[in-house]
Amino acid sequence: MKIKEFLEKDAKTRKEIVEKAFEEAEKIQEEYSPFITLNKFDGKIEEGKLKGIPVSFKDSICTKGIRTTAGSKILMNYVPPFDAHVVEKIKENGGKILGKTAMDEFGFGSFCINTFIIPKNAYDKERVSGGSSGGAATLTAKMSYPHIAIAESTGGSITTPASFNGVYGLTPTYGRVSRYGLIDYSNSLDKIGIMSKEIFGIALGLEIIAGKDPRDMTSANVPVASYSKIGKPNKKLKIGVIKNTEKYTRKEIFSEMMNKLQKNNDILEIHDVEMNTLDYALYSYYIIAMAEASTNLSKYCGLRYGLQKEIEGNYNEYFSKIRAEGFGDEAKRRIIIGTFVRMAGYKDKYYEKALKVRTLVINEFSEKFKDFDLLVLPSTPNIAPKFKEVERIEPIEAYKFDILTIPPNLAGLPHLTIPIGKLENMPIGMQAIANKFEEEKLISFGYIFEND
Amino acid sequence: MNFDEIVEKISKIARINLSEEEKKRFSKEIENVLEAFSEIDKINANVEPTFHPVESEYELREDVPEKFEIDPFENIIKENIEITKDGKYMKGPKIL
Repeated sequence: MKIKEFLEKDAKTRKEIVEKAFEEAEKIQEEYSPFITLNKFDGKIEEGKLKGIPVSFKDSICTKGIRTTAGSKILMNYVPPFDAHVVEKIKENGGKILGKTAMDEFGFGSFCINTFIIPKNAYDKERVSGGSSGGAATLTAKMSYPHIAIAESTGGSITTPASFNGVYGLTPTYGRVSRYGLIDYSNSLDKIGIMSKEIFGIALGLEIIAGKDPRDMTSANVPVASYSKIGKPNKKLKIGVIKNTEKYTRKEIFSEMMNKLQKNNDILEIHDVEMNTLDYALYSYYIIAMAEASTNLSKYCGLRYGLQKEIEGNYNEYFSKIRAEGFGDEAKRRIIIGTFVRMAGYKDKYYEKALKVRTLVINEFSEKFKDFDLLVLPSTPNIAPKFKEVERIEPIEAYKFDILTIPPNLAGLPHLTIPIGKLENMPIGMQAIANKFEEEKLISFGYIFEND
Repeated sequence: MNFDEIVEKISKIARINLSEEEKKRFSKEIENVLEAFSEIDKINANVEPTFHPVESEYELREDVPEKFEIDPFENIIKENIEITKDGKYMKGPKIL
């Protein structure tokens, strides 16, 4: 059922639909495990822009009274006493919390396997859902009743899983949405965004959650457009296809993307562009993200949040023991590397250089947006891998999988992944990147391909 | 660079106990990761570092007290902290 159709129903009918949606979520959970925690419907249907639409939240977003683990054992029993800004906004608009979706621990991963509840791909249970917002993507793909997923991306955690599961995923401009109440991975990179089966769901969700919030200093004081009223573009869009991403992508995916674009050349003016910083962006991103993550994770020490035990030995011995027990492999690895790249003697070579490379990436994008409305590239290098293909993957190989999603994330630019078809019965996607705070262009671009 | 020593040192600084198996595995993996990271040496970056991708202005607000809306005795906080039988006090974990 389409969201618009739902919104037109009377309150009684909407309540029946929402009840069915909660039942459907339970069934999906049994088969695909997209949730860490499922919520119950309280039976109340309020008004507002959502009028009862079930909304799922990635488990790194704090929900008052509902367990929030961020996919980590160290927060296994953490129940926040407050709502994140985005949760408040969704509730104010009559959205119902459907549950908390599975994710890689703290967002550390591209396949949603670095955690204790591992969702399956909506199209093939032997394949990964994608990370880190894997649960959100599988759920979005499987729900037949209206649903919007609130997810989060640091380096591709919305685009990758959304693309693997054939749904839309919008990562807004850094600062477009308040991060208040988001369990942080990397403060200068984290962005809360939306997944939906429909572009309209993306637009409606953004309209509700975007805007300035005094509790997040980095949230931007930029007016929020009526995104839900946007339609297809009313003038020709100038598109730059990032041509040097072709060598990293399976050729069928790249050519299908080109087909889709060419088919719409009445409304798109298509050019090829090269992105010189593409290869460097990946490493710059990982250095910055790990450096920030390693400091963020210092608060999990067995005293303030989550996992606690009887204190034995001195504090440092206690912290070291609790952290060894509570963090998974990838969290430990990122803490070690993140600490290393900030250490005296190595800081200039890694961390500071990475920050400068970020400047180069941002500058290159700014130059490109003088000439183009949008830049387009494939969402992922390949279709969703099988679990057995990634369970023993070398960490650096796993990181390299993010080559296509890193550049816009590193630069804080808004981007949208759009499903463009299937390869071996698995969904494939293309992503469009816009200049900062130009989410409107992405939404109208998305409408071109809906029902295409 | 001796990665075994580095991992050993960082596990102390970052306060994480690592098993012998973990130390061995991580030092090998981290060596590969850092080698890949060295790729950024190849690019000349004579520019200022960017700490935040989108400029944000520092705004000051009036220093006025606001109502703290979370009732600490509300049911949910019991999940995290024990409340004494008389309902008057919260019992935090022992830290000394």
